[in-house]
Amino acid sequence: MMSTRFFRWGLLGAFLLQTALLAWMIVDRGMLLASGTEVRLSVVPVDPRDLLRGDYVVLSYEISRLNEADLNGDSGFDDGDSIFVVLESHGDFWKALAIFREEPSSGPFIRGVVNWINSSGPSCDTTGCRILDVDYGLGKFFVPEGEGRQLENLRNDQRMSVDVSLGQHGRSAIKRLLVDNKVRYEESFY
Amino acid sequence: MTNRGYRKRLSRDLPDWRAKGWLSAEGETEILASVDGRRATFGLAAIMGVLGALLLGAGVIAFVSANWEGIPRIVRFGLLVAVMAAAYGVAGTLARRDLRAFSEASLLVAGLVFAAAIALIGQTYNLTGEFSDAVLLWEIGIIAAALLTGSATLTVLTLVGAGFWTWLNVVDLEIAPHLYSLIPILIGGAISLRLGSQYARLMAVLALGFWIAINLIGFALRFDWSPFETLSVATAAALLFWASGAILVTFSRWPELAALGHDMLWPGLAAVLLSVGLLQTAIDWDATIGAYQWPMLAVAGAIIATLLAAIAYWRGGITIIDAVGAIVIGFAAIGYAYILPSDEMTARAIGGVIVLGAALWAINHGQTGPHGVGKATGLAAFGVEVIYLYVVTLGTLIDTALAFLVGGVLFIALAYGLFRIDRRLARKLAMSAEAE
Repeated sequence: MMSTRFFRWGLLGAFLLQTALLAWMIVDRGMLLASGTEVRLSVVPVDPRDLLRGDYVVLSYEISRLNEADLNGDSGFDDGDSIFVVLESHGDFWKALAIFREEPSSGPFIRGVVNWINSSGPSCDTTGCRILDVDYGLGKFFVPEGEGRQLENLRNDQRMSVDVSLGQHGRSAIKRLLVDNKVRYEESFY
Repeated sequence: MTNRGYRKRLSRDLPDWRAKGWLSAEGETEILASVDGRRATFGLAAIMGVLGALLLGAGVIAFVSANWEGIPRIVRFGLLVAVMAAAYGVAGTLARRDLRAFSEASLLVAGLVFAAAIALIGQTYNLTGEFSDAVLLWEIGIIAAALLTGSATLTVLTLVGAGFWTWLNVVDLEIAPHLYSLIPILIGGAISLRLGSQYARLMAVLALGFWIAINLIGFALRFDWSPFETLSVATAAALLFWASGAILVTFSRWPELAALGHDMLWPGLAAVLLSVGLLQTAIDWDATIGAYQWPMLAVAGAIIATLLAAIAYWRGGITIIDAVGAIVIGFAAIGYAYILPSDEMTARAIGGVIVLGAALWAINHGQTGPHGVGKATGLAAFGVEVIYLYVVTLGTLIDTALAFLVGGVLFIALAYGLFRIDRRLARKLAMSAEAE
């Protein structure tokens, strides 16, 4: 067992290090939200419950399901591959234009991971059709307890959208959640 | 054994030892006084303290989880950091007053509040990434705190977190084997050795066993192994675990390493018995054999276990019967899974012989081996195996009432037989000790 003096310095060191880790998490996200390029994505939410973090709305985006054949760029993606999706503005919303394995030279683009590949179903009417299910790490939006249900009701009406901030190397973070193009939640520490 | 139980036994034995001239009257008084002077390190008050700390930590996490809007998030975050600081401060004050167990409970609160703070930031910024990434960040903070403070509680928390991180990666994300999760377990194990804490060391052994088991199951599911294939590899892995412990226990120059080895013996033995016990029931699940990886892995594991058992025997850690028994059990389990008898009764009989052999091996390990580990477990396994064999073979052939009668007589006979064997072995040991 260490001496009381070393133990006290150890306690201070442990506290400072853990606080620094927490501060790093906040600064990293805060900077991405403050300085990134903003794009608006349309969503389809559902509502489960996470015991540790409270209520949240599960968000699925139009760009979460990509038909390889409809897009420019690379093809032949596998499960677990990194994917860079170049976005293009269509009125208020942004849609996928091209997909690449490597980081494209011009953007805006968002980075994701191919979860799985679907070769059948209603959106696959041609032979060799490949629908990529892509995860961007934007799948959950946390709301105060009980409010997840209200948002779930808006799901069927397709009235929800999300503003996303895009940073370097295609990193992304949810900036705000909108209902009927009006800001419903805008979350930050400050 | 508890301090009270130990004292009771000593006060019964010491007069005998004094009568035999092994120790003086002063020696007897000194020994008893030293036991009385020893303080219970983990008494009821300390247990209550730890439970209180767990409740406090759970309360803080639930508070964050409710995502209550009454207090702005920055204030909530400030509160969490303040509670963390207070918990570390209180831990320091209690340690200075020599209340080490309560100081450890306070550190437990700090570790859990740190988890709540990470959850709050994740909630604020909708960090969905992988949940396992957040757990990893928490794990890094807790490992650093355990290293800096030399706290056994934070080391235990490190190992529990490492187990949880392994689970998330192998079960939720289906990554098997997940080698990275072995790193925090090894670090936690190293800290527990440095601290000399029995609780932390036991947790390290459990975490390592859990890591092996969960990765093996994940690996088996990934390659679609049958239960036969999985359980024969599990037997080899359990023997490897036991043999590693049997070698470590011989390092008397490093008492902490020897203690770690001793703590690995029982889980290793129990895992061998459990693996072969389940292996014999695999014919009831699925008898297909087909994957190609398992024989290589199982044979490699059994060969390495053989080498380790030979080294342990050479270093005096185990007897020749322990070593040979382990080798025979390992290769018998692999052979059984590989050349599965087509006739059900033959398959059950051979499976039963392997399990009974393993149980006798464990009994012998505890009775004649230098560490006294495994006797009760072996006896229990022997009894359960006889019941199992009776139920699946004879019990299915005769009438229920008759089956109970025959069963009752059989078990009384078995209990008497085991009692006789135990007494004979004890007498033999006493005689050989007197001859020396």
